[in-house]
Amino acid sequence: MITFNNISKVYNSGAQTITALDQVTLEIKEGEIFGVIGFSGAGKSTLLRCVNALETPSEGEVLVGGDLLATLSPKQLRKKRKTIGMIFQHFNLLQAKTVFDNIAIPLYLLGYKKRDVKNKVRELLSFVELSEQAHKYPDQLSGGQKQRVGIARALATDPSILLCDEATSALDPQTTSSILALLKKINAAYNITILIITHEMNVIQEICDSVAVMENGRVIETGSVFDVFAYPKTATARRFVSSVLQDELPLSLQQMLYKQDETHQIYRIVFTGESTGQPLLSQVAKNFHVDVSVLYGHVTELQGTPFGNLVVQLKGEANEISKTLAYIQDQAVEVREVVSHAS
Amino acid sequence: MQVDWNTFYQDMLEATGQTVTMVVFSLLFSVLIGIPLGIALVVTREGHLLQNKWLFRLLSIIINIFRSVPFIILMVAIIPFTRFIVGSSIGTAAAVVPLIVYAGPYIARLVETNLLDIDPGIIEAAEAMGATPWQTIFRIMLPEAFSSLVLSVTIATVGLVGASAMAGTIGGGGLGDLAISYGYQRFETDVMIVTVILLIVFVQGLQSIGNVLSKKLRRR
Ligand SMILES: Nc1ncnc2c1ncn2[C@@H]1O[C@H](COP(=O)(O)OP(=O)(O)OP(=O)(O)O)[C@@H](O)[C@H]1O
Ligand SMILES: [Mg+2]
Repeated sequence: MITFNNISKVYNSGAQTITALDQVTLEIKEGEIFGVIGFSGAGKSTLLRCVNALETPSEGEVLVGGDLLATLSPKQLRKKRKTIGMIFQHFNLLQAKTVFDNIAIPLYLLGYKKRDVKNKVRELLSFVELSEQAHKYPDQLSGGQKQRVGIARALATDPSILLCDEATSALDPQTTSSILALLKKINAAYNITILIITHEMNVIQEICDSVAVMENGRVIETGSVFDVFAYPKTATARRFVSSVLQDELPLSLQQMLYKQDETHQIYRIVFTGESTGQPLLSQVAKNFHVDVSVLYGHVTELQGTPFGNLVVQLKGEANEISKTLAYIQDQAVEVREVVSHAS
Repeated sequence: MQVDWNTFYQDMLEATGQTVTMVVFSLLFSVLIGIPLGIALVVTREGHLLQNKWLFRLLSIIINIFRSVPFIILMVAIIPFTRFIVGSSIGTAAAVVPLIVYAGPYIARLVETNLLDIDPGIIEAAEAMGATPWQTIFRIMLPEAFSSLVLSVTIATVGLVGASAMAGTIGGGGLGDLAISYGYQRFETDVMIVTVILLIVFVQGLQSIGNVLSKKLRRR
């Protein structure tokens, strides 16, 4: 649906040149919810804005729905943009217009008749659950309600793609969840491809199918949300994963273990899918001469699949421990030694 | 030395009428000139809807030139132009010309500020919707800035009341002319006082109307 083909974006501000995007190649499939995560300044917004040509890459090409954006005339581009909805961190609603009129704007721009506008806006209002607020002004709404107006406005032209730039970053956790649920509903109901930019890993965890991790203008890691969470390859990805899964040992615990010089016996066990349900640890305790103590753990759900992360300490003789580890791996459960960060 | 108010009130009424005429006509034309100029000053700047470096610079320089000449000098300096437009350099109609030349660029600058105050995110949202530059100006920017535009026009109107008093001295008549020729040149203090009070009432009234209107329009 969206293809970034080796795109770069360089800004020249005075003597300085800033490479906001550095040879990014990505493919976003039709109907999926794709998340891009990265720290501030990583180039996420720049990437997103290339999709509706608010930004033009200095190099490389962007294909949207089979059209090469660079080859479109201004008129064709405007037509294309009507098939791409966009929502913003700060909502960008017209303060002087009611909720109803804000949602109606794209329709008026298309030259719809008053009656058609009315019907369409009513339908959108009820979809985003704002029918009661139709005649209020943006400054009378909560942040979550404002974002719902933004979403309804973005959907007015029946787009096939929805771009979300930090759409939940100005909202509290609960409101964030309700907006994410709404985005999921949009994706399911209309099969709209959604591209989400965020610096919050929980957004990725809650609704995305695939994710790309960006750093310094580059995509440093990409894959299904499950793979990136379960097997993060880069330090940055691990940091993001840790921010929601809390799979890092707390510092106090690390220090305690370090003092006791027992860090070499600590292992991380990653359960995925069906293995999460297995009584693995009790079997280990029964069958091997090792003592198992659970130091830290967390079970969550990723893309509807259970996912567990357990940090354990194994005490026993070396050959017994290696037998234990082999057994665990046989159960198709990933296990690896934890390297202490306390030093 | 005292004027006879039983007959003089008619002069007063006439002068008030002349002031109103000057202000209304000059306001009308300077708004017609100032608003498009103000829009142009915004949309032709770098990175905006219809960016055009040279047009932007040209407009900006021309406006600055007019804005830097004090009204009393401007009035005299453009006499040939005034004569060319209205066929005479004295009278109420002749006074309107320098008033427009004075207020038009002023309004353009005020409109420019109002439009620049719009959150750039809103203009970006319009662009993302596929709005044409024209649609963005008329359906997004102007409605969004409407209430502050009304305040700007109010400020310009008050400025015109003051300037029209000066314009009166080149034969346009009006309250300013009355105050100068009776109150100042003939030491008729009560004429001066009445004129000043009238001007104060004028300005207060205009500002109040502007404020109320702007507040009403803030949400439409
Ligand atoms: N118009 C511009 N001119 C110059 N530099 C820019 C411009 N837009 C972005 N940049 C630079 O490009 C880099 C990437 O910016 P971008 O906005 O894409 O980052 P981001 O990942 O969205 O960050 P954030 O999370 O803070 O929004 C930054 O270093 C930024 O300063
Ligand atoms: Mg950003």
